[in-house]
Amino acid sequence: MRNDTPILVKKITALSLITILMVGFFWAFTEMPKGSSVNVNNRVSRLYILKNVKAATKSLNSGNFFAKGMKPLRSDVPYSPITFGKSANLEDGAANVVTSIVVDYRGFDTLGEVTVLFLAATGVAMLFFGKRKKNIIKAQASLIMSVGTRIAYAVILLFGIYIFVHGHLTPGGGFPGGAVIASGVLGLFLGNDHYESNHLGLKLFESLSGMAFVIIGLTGLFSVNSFLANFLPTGVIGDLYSAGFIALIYIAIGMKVGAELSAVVDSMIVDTEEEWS
Amino acid sequence: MSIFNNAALLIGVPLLFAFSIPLFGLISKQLTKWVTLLTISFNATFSLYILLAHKYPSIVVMGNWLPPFGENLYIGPVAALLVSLISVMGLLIAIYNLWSIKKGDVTRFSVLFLMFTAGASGMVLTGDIFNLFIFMEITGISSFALAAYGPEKRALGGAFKFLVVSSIGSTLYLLGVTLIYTQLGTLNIAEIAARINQTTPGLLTFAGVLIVSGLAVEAELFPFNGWVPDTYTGAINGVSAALSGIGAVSGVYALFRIAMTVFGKDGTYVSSYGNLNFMAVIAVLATATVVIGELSALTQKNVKKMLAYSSMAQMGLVAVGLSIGNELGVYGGIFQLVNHSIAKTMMFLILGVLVASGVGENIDDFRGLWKRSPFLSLAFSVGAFSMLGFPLFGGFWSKFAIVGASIQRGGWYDFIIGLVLFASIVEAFYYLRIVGYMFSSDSKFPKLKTPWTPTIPIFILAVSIIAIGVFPQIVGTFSAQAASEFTHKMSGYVLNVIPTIAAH
Repeated sequence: MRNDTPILVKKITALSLITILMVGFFWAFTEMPKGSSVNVNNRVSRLYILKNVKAATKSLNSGNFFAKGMKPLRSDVPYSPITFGKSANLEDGAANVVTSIVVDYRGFDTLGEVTVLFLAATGVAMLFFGKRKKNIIKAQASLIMSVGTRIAYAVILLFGIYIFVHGHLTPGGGFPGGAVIASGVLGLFLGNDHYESNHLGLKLFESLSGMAFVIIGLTGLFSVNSFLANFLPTGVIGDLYSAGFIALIYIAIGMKVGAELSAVVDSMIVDTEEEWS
Repeated sequence: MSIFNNAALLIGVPLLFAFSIPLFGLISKQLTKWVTLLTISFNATFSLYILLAHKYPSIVVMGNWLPPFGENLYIGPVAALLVSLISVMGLLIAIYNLWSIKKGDVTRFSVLFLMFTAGASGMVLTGDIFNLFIFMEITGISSFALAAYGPEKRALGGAFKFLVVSSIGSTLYLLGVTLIYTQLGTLNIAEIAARINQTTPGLLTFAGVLIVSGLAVEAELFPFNGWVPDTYTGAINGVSAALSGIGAVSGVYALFRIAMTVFGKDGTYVSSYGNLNFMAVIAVLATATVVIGELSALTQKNVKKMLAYSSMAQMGLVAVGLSIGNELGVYGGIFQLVNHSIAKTMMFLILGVLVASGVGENIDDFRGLWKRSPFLSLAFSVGAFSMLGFPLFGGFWSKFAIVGASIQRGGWYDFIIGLVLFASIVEAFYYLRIVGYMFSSDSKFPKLKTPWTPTIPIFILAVSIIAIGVFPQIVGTFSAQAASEFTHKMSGYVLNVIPTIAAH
């Protein structure tokens, strides 16, 4: 495809590519095997029924897991009920299952995702670098808007903090909490004509919270000898002080995402004139 | 299974310093380049230690959850060699950047360059198919932003093209990963590799098509490489060097890790499960890449664009070597990858120095360069000779091994002999044309004053090309170990990660 290809050819090519993709995808779903035809016994995922990685690892390492004629695991597993507010020292200890996977079992992915967001914000800011602010006349915000956003900002900020502090207990966590905080900052931009964000503060928050995440990971490496390992006691399930380092990580993520999205809003909302210095 | 958890520092330390660079930027903008340089030199030292002290094969457990339940990094011969390559290339380009990046947003450039290198290392190290996606995103996003850096308008166009193509590619990859996950319920590469024959062949084929087309974007294979010429030409020279010397390495690695380890079927020649043999598909795509890339490079009058097309063609040659599927072929492919990375990085850096001192980018501007700057023209010629596979330069040994492997395989793979010869002849034509211009004509322009900072990486790279050419075993020993890892998927990869897993 070149720039001077007729637009019709381009459209037909794109349409046929999309059609192939769609047909392939639906056809792939018809190819899915039925549940009864899958032999779960020779897959490691059968061990997930134990709901306990340490026991599962032990069973896997003993070497006879894949032996023929192995009994279904369900009968071997002693049933131990988990009571909210009573069970203590569980393996992960987070009441919110999604959080336990996102931050604890697959915490390395989350560190990567935070980095992706950081790089996206950095890249956006770099593209807008060296551009002078242009003074154009915008529609004035009404009195209700400018007073309302300032009141709402305090509530939104508090709510965002609530969300990321309770990430291990309730649905939510660092990413939604940070996004909520950034929406409050967006309100400030809309409500005040000459609002300037505190660039130094945003930068400090961004850097220090990101470093806090990595330092928590490195603490795991030096105390438990594994990067991003949980080095704190997991406590009683359902308590605010439970689930070890998950709350700490989510506080770092929440502050980082909040500061970063605010910085993105800041660099995109301001009208600029081009100038490369 | 030996566990070497401290190697997590290869990812952790760059991340820590990438987050702290904005704070260093408050003190001084020039300081941030030094932070990047020192962090990458830590990575280079540590990865060379792993390579030379033979700390592999070993796994790095993340979060104290042993594989396949948690995430892990796998340091095999391939990963050890390629991480060292990526970090050393990153270090040399960072030295060049000390001199070349003076204007603009230096702080953010340093962050992005550091994370580009670390993301590429992560892609090579990771042992988890979803984690590979995350590192692809890190490498990708930082490279779009890097490609857009600079005062020139053409940079933005190239970067935007790259952004669109690469985003589509990574989406396709993610769809493929989803399909595999519905089948096996795991994301660990070792476990998927051991269980791949339990999936439905049709679904596996479709997932494979999606994954291969997604990864071919990064590996610069033919129908997916439309972004290469514009992005390489638009970006500043240091970034073009990083894209071809670092980004392409991790792209090719990811493609063949999926095609040979995850989908692969062990045998004398690796083929893949599913209704389609992906190794043959990649061989066809790579052949088309070589032919199209070389012919396009031949017609260029702009040296930078020529290097971009040549980079595309060379990546095609790497993929041809790896897709033959026997040990000699993989040996040649990996060797060629190392040679190409060294030589192309050096040539882009030389071009950067020349452009900064007022020599243009066109072929005619290279007339009589020998009189103006003997060192740069000699180094450029060394790179050109290595590219076209002249004996006693690095590229000779790898092309020789690829030809040998295709003779071993026989059948219709014999065409690769012709392909390599064709590529060499075309390369000889367009590279020797420049070399001839540099040495034969006279120039009326004054001598160039070469600054000493960028000459350090150029000198090191030129010496290493000649060293590899004279003593090929410097790279060859590691490349041979890497070949045995790629061609024996159970003993080379799966059993080193999960020792108790059975094949069926």
